[in-house]
Amino acid sequence: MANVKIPDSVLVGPEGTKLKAWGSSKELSAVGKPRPKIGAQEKVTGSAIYAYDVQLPRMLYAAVLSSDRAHARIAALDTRKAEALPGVRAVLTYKNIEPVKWEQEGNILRDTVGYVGEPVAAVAAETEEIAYDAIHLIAVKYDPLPSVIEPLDAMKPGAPQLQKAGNVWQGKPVIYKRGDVEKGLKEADIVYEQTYTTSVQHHTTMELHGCVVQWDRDGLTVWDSAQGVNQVRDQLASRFNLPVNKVRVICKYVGGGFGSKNSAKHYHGLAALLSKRTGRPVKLFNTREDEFPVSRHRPKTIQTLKAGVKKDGTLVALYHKAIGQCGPYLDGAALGARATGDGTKSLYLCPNLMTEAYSVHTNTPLLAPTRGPGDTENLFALEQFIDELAEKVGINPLEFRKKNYAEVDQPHDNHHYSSKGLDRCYDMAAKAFGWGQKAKASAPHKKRGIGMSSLIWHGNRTEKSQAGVIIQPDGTAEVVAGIASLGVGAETIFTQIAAEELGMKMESVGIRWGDSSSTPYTINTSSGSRTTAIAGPAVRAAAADARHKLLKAAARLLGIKPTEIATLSIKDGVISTGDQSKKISVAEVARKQGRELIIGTGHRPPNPEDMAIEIFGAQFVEVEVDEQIGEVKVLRAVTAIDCGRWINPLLAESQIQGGFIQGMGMALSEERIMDSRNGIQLNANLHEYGMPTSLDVPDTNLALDPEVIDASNNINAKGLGEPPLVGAGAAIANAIYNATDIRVRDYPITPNRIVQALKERSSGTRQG
Amino acid sequence: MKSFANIDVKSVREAVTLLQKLHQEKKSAEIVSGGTELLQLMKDRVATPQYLINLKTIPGLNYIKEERSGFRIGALTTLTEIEEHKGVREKLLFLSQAAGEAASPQLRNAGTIGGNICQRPFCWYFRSANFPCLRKGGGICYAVAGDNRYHAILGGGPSYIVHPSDTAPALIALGARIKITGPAGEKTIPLEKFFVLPQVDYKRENILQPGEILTEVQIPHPKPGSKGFYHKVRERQAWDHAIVSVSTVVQSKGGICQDAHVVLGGVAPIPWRAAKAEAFLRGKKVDEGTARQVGEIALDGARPMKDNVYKIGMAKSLIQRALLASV
Ligand SMILES: Cc1cc2nc3c(=O)[nH]c(=O)nc-3n(C[C@H](O)[C@H](O)[C@H](O)COP(=O)(O)OP(=O)(O)OC[C@H]3O[C@@H](n4cnc5c(N)ncnc54)[C@H](O)[C@@H]3O)c2cc1C
Repeated sequence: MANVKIPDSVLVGPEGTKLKAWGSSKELSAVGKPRPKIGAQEKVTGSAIYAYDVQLPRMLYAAVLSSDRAHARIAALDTRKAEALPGVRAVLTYKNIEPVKWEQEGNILRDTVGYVGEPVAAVAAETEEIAYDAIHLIAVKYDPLPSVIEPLDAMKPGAPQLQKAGNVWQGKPVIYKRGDVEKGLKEADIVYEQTYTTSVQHHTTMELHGCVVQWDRDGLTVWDSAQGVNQVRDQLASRFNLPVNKVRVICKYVGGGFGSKNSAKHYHGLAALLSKRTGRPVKLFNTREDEFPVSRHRPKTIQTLKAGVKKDGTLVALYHKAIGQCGPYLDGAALGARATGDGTKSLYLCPNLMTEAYSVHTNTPLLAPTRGPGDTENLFALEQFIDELAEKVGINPLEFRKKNYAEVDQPHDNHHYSSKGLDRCYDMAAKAFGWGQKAKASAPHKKRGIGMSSLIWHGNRTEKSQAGVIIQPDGTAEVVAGIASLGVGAETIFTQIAAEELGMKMESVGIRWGDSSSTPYTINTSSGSRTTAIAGPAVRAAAADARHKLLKAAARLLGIKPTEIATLSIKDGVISTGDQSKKISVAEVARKQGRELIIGTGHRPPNPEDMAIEIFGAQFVEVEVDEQIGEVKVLRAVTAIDCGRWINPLLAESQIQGGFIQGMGMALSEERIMDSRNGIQLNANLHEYGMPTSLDVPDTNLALDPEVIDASNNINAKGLGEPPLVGAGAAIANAIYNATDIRVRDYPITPNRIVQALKERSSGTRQG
Repeated sequence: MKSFANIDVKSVREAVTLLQKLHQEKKSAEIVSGGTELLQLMKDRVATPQYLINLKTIPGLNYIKEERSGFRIGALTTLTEIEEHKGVREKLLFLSQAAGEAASPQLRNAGTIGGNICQRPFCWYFRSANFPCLRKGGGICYAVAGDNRYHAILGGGPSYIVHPSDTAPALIALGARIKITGPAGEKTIPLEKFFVLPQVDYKRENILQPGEILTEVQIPHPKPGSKGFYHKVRERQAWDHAIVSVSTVVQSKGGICQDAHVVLGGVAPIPWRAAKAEAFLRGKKVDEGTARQVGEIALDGARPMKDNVYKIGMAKSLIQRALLASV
């Protein structure tokens, strides 16, 4: 997008200078280039060190006994046999653990349990085998308390009340209103209502959740598998009442997070307390089965949408009610009330709108952000509903969306967007996909279908961020950033940003990260698709500071007045005057500096106040459905995402491809299956919890860049980690409908649901 | 996993003697081949044997031999070896496909045909130590009032597991027999007679007695004019057990069925042979109408539970498709 005006406030440079507004990525040398991910070779060759790999001298192994009851009071707890087992060094239960407040409900271990999987005891032993044998020797007698598993049951009168305010989180729904929905519905030519459900989706990270902890006189050191080093450190310091400089979190590589590794969880606390008690380092990693409750999950939701439309397709009223299931405690409960999010409120122009979201307490594990929390649940429902509305008024689904396009952000004072390339995404993805043409199915009992969805993900509010850039004595540069490498490539992107600003080759710029005690506070944790947009501008500012200092040193060496350094520029590591009459390499300046390193620091300027920031995109898919047995194959997917500037197209593509697949999993096969009599998950293993396999992914999974330059920060990026999942489900559901004339409104759309729906249609008990 | 002792045996005889001895001494023991299935049960502490008798160290139990009467496959042959064997591919209709669609490549590389036929159920109530179900010596089958979307629609009661093996229904459709070696020597029986319905004994899936080992699978050459069809319905293209599978062998002449085998997987506690449907088909012209009727007859008597009604339609469709593809 040409001629974007970048506000001066985001281009603040060192010592009153102004940063250059970057033009199209074609004009840049490092940003916008496909630099392979730093650490990729280490990962594929197995030399990258993860927390799970850490082995310390005298290290003990821990195991956690968790509740197999949904709601109970512990009547008796006998740990004598476990303690007597040779090799056991400590057993912690609510009876002997020091009082460390962990959740709003109280201590880290308590005498009641509120869900299956809640920790009851922890053991540290000389080997992992002994630790696990020991937890099986702990005898727990539970007095059952009344429990409720399903959110709709929990909302009924007479249900056991899990919180003082009742089973609806905070005692009431979260409501948003504009205009008058009733009035809007009266003005409409067509009023339509439909209900959708989404299932619990788990993060299923490849690396288990866990950490290695050493608590000694120097303080607490944690080798963690986390999405950031600072948030876990801050939380541990505050909960254990330790000075921040006595807590160190080290995390270079992470084997997947997807929202589940943002904060200090029970296992951090238990490992720390076991280490404190034994005076030895402790390794605590979950078993794969324990992962399911420990990592937490995306809520399941029940959503009803009601809309009024004019004959010409104009949306005049929209009502959205969502019920989300959260655990028994307040921790994470807010996430149950986010399915009526930005999609419903912002995506389409609609004067009369109301949303009502209920997060409902049940005796089930707690919630954690799960890639695209809220907006994913929202769009899986909304974007099917939009297709249904389009059909009601007889308009092509893509045209319907364009007709109701919102140029301004309605829930936020109708602010203009810092950029909105959704229209471009629609057009370029539709073109690349060949929207409108359906290919022939491969067999008579199979049907092909095409479908699409829009996507939206909230952009980032102003946050502080700081980074450093050091010019080493040999002239190489090193970015210093307080992040963990979640796997999305932020560290690679930072080197590109720094290289661009410094005028150096990408290969000469390295990065140090992953240790809270040797890096600045760049971000608390990488969540919300924020790292690039929050920390990237700080890295650019730090690089600009280093550049400024470099130029000052060069000016001295070249005999140029300090007031004239603006005439100097750096290209490919060489500093020169505009007329090329004087030049000196960065390496030479650095060498002359010697041990007086040039250290640039920078922070992120605030976002412009009058702009709304949202990420947009469009996803198109083609499916083939076997109408007799309900098997669905996704043949092709095309996704275009306006996340602002694509700093690294290679990484952007892989985010989009991976995100689509994770959305496809949620749409077609991933579902927590829980026995609603007792709250026990039946498929807590990677065999029965249906993540897509490499044989299930579409052969074509195309990612397109609409080349949007965003105005909200100095690198023009908005964030990309989560959006690619958000529209995937509805696009697939819409394609299945297009193929079969069957609307499956309950995710995941498994063969049994398709076959059942087809049967109901042929027996006349179902229409569409 | 609970600690156990592993014993590598050198011969079938040694294994048999040892198993018998441990049984007499009232010590718990399990046979292990690839270990891919047993290991998970042990990790989940559903199986807690004191001894593992490891068959993998027996030389000469891993082979695929083609003879005049048919194929002989040693119990330790892996699923991958069966999938990739040229003779099996060319002559045994769909056996290579059935073996190749089981589990995942890693599991097929380690998992053996003996272990596949003898594997324990994958019912989630059976597999969870949290549920003391009928099959583990408890009082009830939790599937009846629980989530039974993947459970039996035929032959269930009092337990409603489905037999998990993909190779067993395919082998039964091919008329396979198995050799069992035990304290009393060797015997060869039709594979079909190997499996046990829960109404006979709900704690076991087959007739093996303590000390008995499955040592060989024998498969006759399909009769001339035979066509086979295999399809396994699943949510994902790897790892998933069959939601429903069908294996059919139809021998026909001029479109008229001479002989037919129709075996369903994923619907019953044993591989489910639709004998009545086969009898109906014999001598009939195989067309859409007949195929539909065969499906109806095969599923006649199905008793679905609240979550698995869909399996009926799915199985009928598969049978129809199979028969129409067989002539
Ligand atoms: C995640 C997962 C998914 C799977 N999916 C499928 C699938 O889709 N389709 C399918 O068909 N299978 C599936 N399986 C089963 C897999 O194919 C089996 O694990 C494998 O074939 C078993 O072989 P094994 O040699 O490893 O058996 P083991 O694990 O060694 O033994 C399995 C059982 O058989 C007994 N046993 C082993 N050998 C003999 C013998 N010779 N005589 C008597 N008893 C014996 C053991 O005591 C044990 O009870 C799956 C398994 C897993 C773990």
